[in-house]
Amino acid sequence: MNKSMSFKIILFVVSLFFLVSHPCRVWASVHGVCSNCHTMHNSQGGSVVNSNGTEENLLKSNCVGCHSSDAAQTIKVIGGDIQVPIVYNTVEPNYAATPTASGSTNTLAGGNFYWVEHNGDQYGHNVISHSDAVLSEAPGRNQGCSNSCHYSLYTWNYSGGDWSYKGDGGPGNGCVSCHTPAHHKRGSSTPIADAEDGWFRFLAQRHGSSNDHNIKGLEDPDWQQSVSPADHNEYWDYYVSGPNGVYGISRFCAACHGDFHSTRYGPVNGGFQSGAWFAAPWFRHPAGIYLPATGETSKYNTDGSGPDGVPGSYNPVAPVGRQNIDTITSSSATVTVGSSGDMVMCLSCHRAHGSPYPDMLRWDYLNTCEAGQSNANCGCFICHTTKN
Amino acid sequence: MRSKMRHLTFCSIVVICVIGISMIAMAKVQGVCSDCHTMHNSQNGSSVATDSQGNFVSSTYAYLLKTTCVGCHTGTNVPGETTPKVYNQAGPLYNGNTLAGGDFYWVLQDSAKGHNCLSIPSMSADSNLTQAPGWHGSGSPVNCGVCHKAHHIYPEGAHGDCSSCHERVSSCKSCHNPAHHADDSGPVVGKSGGWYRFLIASNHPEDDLGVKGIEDDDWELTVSSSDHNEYNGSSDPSGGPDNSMSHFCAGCHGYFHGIVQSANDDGHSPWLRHPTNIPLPNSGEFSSYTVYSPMAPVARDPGLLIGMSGPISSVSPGSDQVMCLSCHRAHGSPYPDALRWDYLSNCWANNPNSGCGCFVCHTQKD
Repeated sequence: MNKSMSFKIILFVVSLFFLVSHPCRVWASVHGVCSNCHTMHNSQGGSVVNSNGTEENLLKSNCVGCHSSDAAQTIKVIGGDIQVPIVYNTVEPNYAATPTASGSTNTLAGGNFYWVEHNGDQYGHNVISHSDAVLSEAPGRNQGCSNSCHYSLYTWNYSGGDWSYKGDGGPGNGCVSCHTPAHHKRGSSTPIADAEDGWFRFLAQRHGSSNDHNIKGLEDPDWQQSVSPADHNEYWDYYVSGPNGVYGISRFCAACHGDFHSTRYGPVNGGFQSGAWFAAPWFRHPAGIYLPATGETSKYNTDGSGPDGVPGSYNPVAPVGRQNIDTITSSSATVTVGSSGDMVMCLSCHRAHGSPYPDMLRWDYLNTCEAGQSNANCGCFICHTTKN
Repeated sequence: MRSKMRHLTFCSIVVICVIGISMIAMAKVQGVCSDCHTMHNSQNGSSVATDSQGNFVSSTYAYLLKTTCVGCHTGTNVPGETTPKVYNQAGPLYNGNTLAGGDFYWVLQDSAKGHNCLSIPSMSADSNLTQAPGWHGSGSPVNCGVCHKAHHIYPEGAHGDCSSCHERVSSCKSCHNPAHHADDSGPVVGKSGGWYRFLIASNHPEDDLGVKGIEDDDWELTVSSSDHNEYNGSSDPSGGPDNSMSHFCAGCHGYFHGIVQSANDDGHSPWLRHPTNIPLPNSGEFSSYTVYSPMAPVARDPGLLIGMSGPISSVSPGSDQVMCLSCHRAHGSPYPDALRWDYLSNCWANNPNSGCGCFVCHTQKD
């Protein structure tokens, strides 16, 4: 081996080390020139920078303005190399039935607001331009605070603290119902997006001082534009036996859809039988519940013919949440079941923003899910392995 | 021994005198009258007066001056010079031989790089702007009454075409009312000293419109955390003029000033435009700005400034204030918007750069 070859090998190993050891830190916080996103006085060359007026935090645009696109690409680049995930394309993005292919127009993990804006209210959360014409409040709502984001994201209204401005609802202001933007936050102590990073996808509460409503997780660097069993977000979920305790992503959703969460409000609202709060028979589909160690769901993502408690690999069509999120350093294809295992969560079936399917489901529930009929595009069968 | 003691005493007196004189050397103009004045613009049968470019002219100037503001204040700054130069025709070296206010040289190259002071030879009105950005005109939220008090009456002494100053800079005197013979020995220069750097509009000489501050003796030709101007902050950012630096700027850029540009009209984040005349929060990333940086200077609370005897090298978040001049040079700079640093090239989020002044305050954004 000559010197040149040795040098190349060392360089390769060192590069590999850095890539492996910093897999998720690349886009950990926003970078680039300040003027990409901010305008100090909304004035440049005698003209306004933002024709809609000034924005909080001196931003050049609001959330939707930055995270939308008139093209189908779902990640846009500003300032040369800053990647901006698109949540609203005015041109329909690609929604692959089996989201494993890479492509610049692939819908991201949260889905897209295209369908709720173009196809109907049932295709997503009404955040951007109009309130829901069918629903007067969030389905499953059991929180108080009338006329607030607990009822409708569109009519986001929180009169406390620093958030009363633009807080009385209006186009494009619903994002902050779920997200507390913290683009400049960055942590380095763990690969997990937590307090030091502004929380997973900025999913953090709007009020209160404790952090126990906020969501931890591992953020996929390309927001799952490309996705596979080992290339995806890692969600944190947890089950609790009462209204207080540890939180998870499903309980975040339960802030507006409490009756649909199995352990947060189930005992009070008849979600399941008293005394057996973590097991079937269910009255509503469980969320925030671990996959049991026995039965068909213990054979997650298999053909159901194998032994109990032996699941297949992670399937992004119907993802699971992790109880042990703090120990995770990279996305994993491994799924575990049982009381300390992985969880079915709201996002196992739904996209957070929207999808081409009613109820913003991740798959075509009405056309691909027929009992006794195998169909790889039906996400139900990933857990319910003996129903197809 | 006695001889040595005498020697030491003499030396001490000399040192004290030198220090004392140096502190007040620029207190007010010194020297023979003929340095600046000509009684009849006639000497040996020729004109004495010159225009802004040094050409002899037959016309005379007010106060029997030999030349214009620009005529006197054009050139290259060198240590020990007694006349600060604000326009270097040859091209100044930024932060090398430029002063605190910057230089108009760059504005001639690009209107976006400073104030288009029409007193500068060949300077034309801003090609991009028809009026001062942020000019408030009349109406809400900023209106004439903020400065003109009740009934919108003009202040005593005000005269002339208001729009010529409020809407755009027309001359040096839009901002300065020269008073070179006033005693500005300070340390805090106010009315009796002709105001800080003579900052009071010549057409608008109401007392509360002048600016107070401590004047660095070499106009920051040399500058450090302990060697710099001190600017007066405000006790009420949305109140009337109060001799603060940023209120003065607000005379033309009202919408860029005060708490009317905070989302909740309460003078706190979230801001809609960058704040001025607001104390740096004593929390979060701002609390780390503790050593004065001439790159992004702060103004002092007026209650503090009035008792100061000279520049202070420390910064106290919660008291010291961000002001217009924290980010901008008054005359011009090599950078767009007369910024003090290269905002477009040096200021990258998540990328430490000592050449970016934003990060002086926003200590966690680099």
